[in-house]
Amino acid sequence: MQYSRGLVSDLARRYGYLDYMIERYLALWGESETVRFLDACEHPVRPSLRVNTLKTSPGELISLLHERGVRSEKVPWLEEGLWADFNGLSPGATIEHMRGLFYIQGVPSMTVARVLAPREGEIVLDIASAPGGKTTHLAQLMRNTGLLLSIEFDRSRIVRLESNISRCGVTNCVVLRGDAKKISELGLRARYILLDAPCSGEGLLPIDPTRKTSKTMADIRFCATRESEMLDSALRVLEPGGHIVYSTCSVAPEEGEFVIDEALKRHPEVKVQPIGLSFGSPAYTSPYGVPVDSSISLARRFLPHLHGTEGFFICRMLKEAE
Amino acid sequence: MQLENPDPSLWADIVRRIDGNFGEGVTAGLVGENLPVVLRTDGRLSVYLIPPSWPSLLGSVDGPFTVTSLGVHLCDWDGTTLRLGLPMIEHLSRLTECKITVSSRGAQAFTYGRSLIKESIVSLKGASRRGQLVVVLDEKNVCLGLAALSVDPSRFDRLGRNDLVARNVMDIGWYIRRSS
Repeated sequence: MQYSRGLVSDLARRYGYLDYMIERYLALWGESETVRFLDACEHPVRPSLRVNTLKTSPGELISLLHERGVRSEKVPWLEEGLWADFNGLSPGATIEHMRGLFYIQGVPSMTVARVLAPREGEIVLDIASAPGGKTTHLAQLMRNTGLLLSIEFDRSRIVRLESNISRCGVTNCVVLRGDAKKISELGLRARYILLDAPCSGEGLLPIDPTRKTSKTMADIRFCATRESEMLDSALRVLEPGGHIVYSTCSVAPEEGEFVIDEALKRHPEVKVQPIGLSFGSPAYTSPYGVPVDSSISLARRFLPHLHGTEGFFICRMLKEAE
Repeated sequence: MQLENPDPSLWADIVRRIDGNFGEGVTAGLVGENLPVVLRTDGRLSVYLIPPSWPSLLGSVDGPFTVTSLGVHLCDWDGTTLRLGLPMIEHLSRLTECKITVSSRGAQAFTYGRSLIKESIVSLKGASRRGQLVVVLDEKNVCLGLAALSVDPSRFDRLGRNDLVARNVMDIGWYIRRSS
């Protein structure tokens, strides 16, 4: 369905977006849902944290934070996830944070490692891993067993990654600096891979309003190409019978459904798997009216106007045994 | 990936320094069942502790990747000074008698990178000489970091309330300061 230039310009001006973004939202959702999305992005998401079960338990942390006047509420599908109202207190400056008892993390981000659900004792790869939210979560799910390879290219981001690994008491991790697209040269295959790909960040609009005007359509295309290359490289080092989770903090189907659809065509041995957690909405099977592999409906999306979180795409896949 | 073991004289130096400060057998307690391995960067040498199964797993790792850290950071060594890894301090607090306990106000100042003055000291145990490293704990027994005594413990009672007792060597607030 075509929308008038007037509507596009009006919404773009009213909410402060570039026109091309509004055009895409209208094509994806229609007018009424687009307006709900734009309204939702005007409100910050609820602050949340992940309990680091390598160092404490949810009950113990809730009690410690309660003493400081912090009100918390459990995230229903994540036993280690809490929404927390710090009442003006800076969460990062608390002694509990310094001790590594929790990690300040968005609910969709902490859902990703849970969707991968690595088993203890396995070899796990976390690609593009800084600043370490997902690496430290994977280590906690693995109970510090096995081998967790955390790969990051950016030297300055590795500083934060290593600081978080150390703070959270992670002992099963090797940090590797290098280009994730060359991961097939690593000489090692993994049973579990998490690829939270560097993306355009179009899901972070409720957190970062500058994103309304900071990226062009060319940026989204560039990100989508890089995401496809990274996913291809990751699938090459995934063991047959192994699992991979691909995620992005983007609402753009160009960086979610379309990346997966192309990967499924190139890798027929890879199948999308159901996610055994109850959250979000099914991913799109016909974004902008373009049909994609129907199994992609098994992937999930977080959307600001439906779930009160930042926007996110999460897809779990299995590489079938040879 | 070729993992390098510390050469025997280097390892003997490390053990002598840690045990010499914190007590006989403390290094062995910190290492436990793990293997010490060495990473060299910019003239500095870092020692990490890894599980015994890792050398065979990591032996096949190759290609254009550089290891920047692995396992648990035991210490850095520049040829003259040994600096313990911050993740070791909590474990160390269970192995050594060299401890200083501080008030809540002292604890807050310490985690902001400040040193310890007499007013904030609740107790000092196990240390016998100026310059000795002590684990810093708060009154709930939470490990906050490491400090070096600025005075001989026998002179402690003669200090004024604002006199320096121990210099901050490392504290858990560093995680936040480093990240910001």
